[in-house]
Amino acid sequence: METFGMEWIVLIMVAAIKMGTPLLFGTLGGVISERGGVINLGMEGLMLVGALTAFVVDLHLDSKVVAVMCAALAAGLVTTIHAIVCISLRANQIASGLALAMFGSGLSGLLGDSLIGKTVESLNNLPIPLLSAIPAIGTIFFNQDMMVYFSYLCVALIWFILFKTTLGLNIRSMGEAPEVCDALGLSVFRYRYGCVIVGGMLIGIGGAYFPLVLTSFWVDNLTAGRGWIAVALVIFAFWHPVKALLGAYLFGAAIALQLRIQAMGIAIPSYFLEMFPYILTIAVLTIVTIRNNKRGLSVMPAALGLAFFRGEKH
Amino acid sequence: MQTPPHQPFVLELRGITKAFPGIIANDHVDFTLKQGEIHTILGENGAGKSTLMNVIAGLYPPEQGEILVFGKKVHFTNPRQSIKHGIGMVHQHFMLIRNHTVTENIILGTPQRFKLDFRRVNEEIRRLGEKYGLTVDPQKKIQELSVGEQQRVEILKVLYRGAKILILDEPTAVLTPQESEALYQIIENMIQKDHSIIFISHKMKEVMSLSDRITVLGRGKVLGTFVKEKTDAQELAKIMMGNEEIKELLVSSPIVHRTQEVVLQVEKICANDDRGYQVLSEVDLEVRAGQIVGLAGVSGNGQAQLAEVLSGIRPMVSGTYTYWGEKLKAPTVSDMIARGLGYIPEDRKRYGIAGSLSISHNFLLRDHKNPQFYGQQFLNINKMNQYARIKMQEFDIRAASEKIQAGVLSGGNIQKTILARESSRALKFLIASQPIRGLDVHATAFIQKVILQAKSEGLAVLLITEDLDELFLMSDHIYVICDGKMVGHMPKEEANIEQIGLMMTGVAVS
Repeated sequence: METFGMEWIVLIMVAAIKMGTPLLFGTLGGVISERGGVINLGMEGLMLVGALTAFVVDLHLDSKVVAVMCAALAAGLVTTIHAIVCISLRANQIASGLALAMFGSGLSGLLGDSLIGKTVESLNNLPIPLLSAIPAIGTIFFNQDMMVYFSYLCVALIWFILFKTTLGLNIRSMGEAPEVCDALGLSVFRYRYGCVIVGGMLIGIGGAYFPLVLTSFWVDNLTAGRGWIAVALVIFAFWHPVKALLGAYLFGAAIALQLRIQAMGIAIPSYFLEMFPYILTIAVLTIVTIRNNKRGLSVMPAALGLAFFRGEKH
Repeated sequence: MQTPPHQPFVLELRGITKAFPGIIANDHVDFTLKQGEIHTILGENGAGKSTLMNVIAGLYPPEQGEILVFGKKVHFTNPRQSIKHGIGMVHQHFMLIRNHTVTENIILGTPQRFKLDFRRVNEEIRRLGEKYGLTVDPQKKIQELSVGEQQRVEILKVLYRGAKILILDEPTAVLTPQESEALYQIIENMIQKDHSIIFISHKMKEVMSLSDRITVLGRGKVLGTFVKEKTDAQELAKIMMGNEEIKELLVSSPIVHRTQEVVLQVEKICANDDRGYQVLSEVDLEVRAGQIVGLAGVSGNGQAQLAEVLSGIRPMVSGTYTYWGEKLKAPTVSDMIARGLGYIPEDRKRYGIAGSLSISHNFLLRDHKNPQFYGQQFLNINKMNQYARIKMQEFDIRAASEKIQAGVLSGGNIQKTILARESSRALKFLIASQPIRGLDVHATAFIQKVILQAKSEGLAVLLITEDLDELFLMSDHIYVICDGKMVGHMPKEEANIEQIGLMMTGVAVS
């Protein structure tokens, strides 16, 4: 195989999508939650909960579909804690999110301890007829597994709902000005709970991708910090589902490249290579923020991170 | 919704009582609104107007009394129910989402198809706007609109929901004179189209020209309801104040012309806004001791940035800044405080106070190094509180205690707190930006009296205002700013309102 040739690039890109898919699910979950006004820093923990649940269910029931569904439910359940703490109890969202991240890693580590060493079958690729025959593009995008196709569907669906429907307008308004929504008779609590929990479920699905596709086995801290990259990707994507896709694949490529270069034995210290995606995260966030400040653009939901009180005077 | 012919009132309140902990905001209030009528509610801040409006709008359920809408008894527990009954409230502080378009703001919360047909809704809103003279582009984002346009969106929002009874809560408090004129026309249009309006205002002039009837509220009670033709501004003011002291307050101090030393002189100052765009170009300004210089301008023309440059908050790009004969290169805020500068910022709630701190802590904001309050290692809390109580009395700051959060005070009391803090130091130069905007008659008179008094004792004052009445009442010398440039200046005696108005809008240059 010719190194750095066309074929090599296609190979990297195929891996980029695989590596990017859990990030994409996580970022989409974050986008939904934050569009509704609630920051979810607990992604790493939620992904681990999703990953463990999917692994256990697949191990016992041998069904990928059920495994993914259970991962979503489990992560959704754990996110509900975050929702209660942030929305009903109006506690600090940052603190609650960090606690959730630690809780998720601890819980999955504890419960998953006995599962180390067991394996499940990896989810098969399912080429889409005709589309997968397109040179390069077909191999990269349409010769993937069902979960990747499901992530495409999620991007389209979330984009449509957020920007083309009444439901989406209401969700976006919750993140911008909950007091306005309240005065117009929309239930801030209902929408925010919905956003946080649905977002958490998507993050859990992202977690499920690790054992079902990427590794086939369970180790402690399986997601290895990818949840934190997803947190940053939400900002990088300007809270937009289509840009989330671009961002996730860019970082997927960075991870794939790092693994590939490591495998090729090029003399770069492996620690540096492992750092690479995270350095990229910091660099991209810095550039994006500086550019936005210059243009005076504010794309961040205005009420993001703020608890809602129905203001009463006196 | 049509009024049955036998029904004289579209809205009737009977004995509405609403109490908050420690205060009865509305005490057996009776109120009626006729079809096609403009009924003004007049009252000081804290008289219970806002509470009453929130009761009508369904935000606060009343403890006692009944509300009849179009002759039917209603019981609102949330805003949606009052909207359903044809009541629409236009809030003083706009309830708009800045990142959303006009259309998105207007349809939010209304029943729509799941898939939004933006083209159809845009067209619907454009037509509704034309009908009432409320022209605004439905596809623009709120942040691109002027204050006047934003208010039109607020009005469209309630009309779109089918409101027949509109509550306008101090609608002209934030508008320029031109925008206010346009609003009066819109109100006329709405009356022509069978809407009825509850109008809340402090401005006696517009109250007397717009209203059919006027109800005066004071300390939660109705002090009287009057037909416009059978009363006049003096009588209403007297009833509203409930005492005579106001007369003495309203008398403006005589203009003192003294050729005193120049306190502040700036030449050809340029400065940029936060995004790096130039907002001040070659501005000249001079203020003398014992003089109030009024700076007139439509807001957003650079006066806020000028105040920031003068107080050391914003760096100047070029130009010279001379203060008591000393050339300042890059003054910092603490430099300027040490030099005796006081600053009443335009956005008093955000920049004038720390809302979550107590009143007595707020008095300390510039004086935290004062040995009177700062012992060896610790703050002297008792002394602070004692000091705060004295200041509260001196400045007539009405609050239950000096320990309550400053942010919950009314606008007038916040402004008095700021003024008390700023004037407690040995001031040499005071910048007062929109000091009376949104304040009631009593607070306005008090603030103006304090400033005039300080002036007569030799303080140099820069008064930044959009309110031409205030400008002419207070200033000795008038500057006009437009688009970041000084378009003219003149002694007060040589100025007239029309010319200033034209200069503010950039039509005329002196």
